[in-house]
Amino acid sequence: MMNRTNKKAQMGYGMEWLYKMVIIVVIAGGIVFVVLSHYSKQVDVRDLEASIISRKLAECIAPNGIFKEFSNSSVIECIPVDERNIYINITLGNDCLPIGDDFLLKLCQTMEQKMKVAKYPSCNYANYMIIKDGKAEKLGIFIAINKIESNL
Amino acid sequence: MIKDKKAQIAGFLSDTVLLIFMIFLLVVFFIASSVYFGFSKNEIEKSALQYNLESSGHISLNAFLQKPVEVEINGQKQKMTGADLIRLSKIDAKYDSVLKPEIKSFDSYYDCAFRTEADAETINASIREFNEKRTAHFYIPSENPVLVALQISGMKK
Repeated sequence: MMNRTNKKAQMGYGMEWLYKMVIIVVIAGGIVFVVLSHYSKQVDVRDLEASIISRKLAECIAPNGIFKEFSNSSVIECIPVDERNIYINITLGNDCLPIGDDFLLKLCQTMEQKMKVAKYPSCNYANYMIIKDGKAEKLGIFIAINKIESNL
Repeated sequence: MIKDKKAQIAGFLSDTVLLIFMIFLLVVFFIASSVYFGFSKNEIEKSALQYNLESSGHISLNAFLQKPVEVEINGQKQKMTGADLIRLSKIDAKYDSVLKPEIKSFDSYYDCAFRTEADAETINASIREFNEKRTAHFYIPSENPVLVALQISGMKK
């Protein structure tokens, strides 16, 4: 009788510990899940990246709004980019300077026509007024960024 | 024996209530942190657009203030900058007619509003407003200082 009660008590304590372990695992697992779900969240920052690159390019071509230099080498020197994942088209007056993968431009044009593209690039366009040879000129910078794996 | 069983059941029940409460807390904190710290795609797009408009406005307005313009003063053509022309128009309103077409040149670049503020009492309030709205603005120092701002709402292709 005594032995049987002890065995039952032992089983009871064992069950209680098992139950408490389950509680600890659920709470610890929950905390890990919440932290991981926040830290591993994919955030598409390509629009911001394009805006920052655009400003940097405009400041290189025309520091303080005054025209300095406009050539392929000066642009690449100003901001080194991965040409497989980016397309930049700079227009200044009648001059045009394309850099990178022009297929991204076609994808952007397709998206503009409201066609759905599964893995879409980020397309960014900005105008700047700059002073060149004492006259106001329009500096247009178009940037398309691919980088799908790291953003989508 | 019966008392032990009851105590065990009570312990089990209180642990279960605790577990449910902990899960509830986890869910609440998860949702609250997602709402508070979470950046939705729209928010990033909005801040990227805002950054784009702000930086574009800043560079263009800076260029405009340095832009050489020719103004006829007392029958003589004089060269000056956009900033000088704005100052002049604040001193004498007849130069507004020269300034307006110059300001119009922004229309081919943006959908925008150009503002000048020369009232010393309202300049500080305007600076606060432009900082809050992240509007590109410059302060032209002179005897009668002028605050110039270019508020862009959209780019023209």
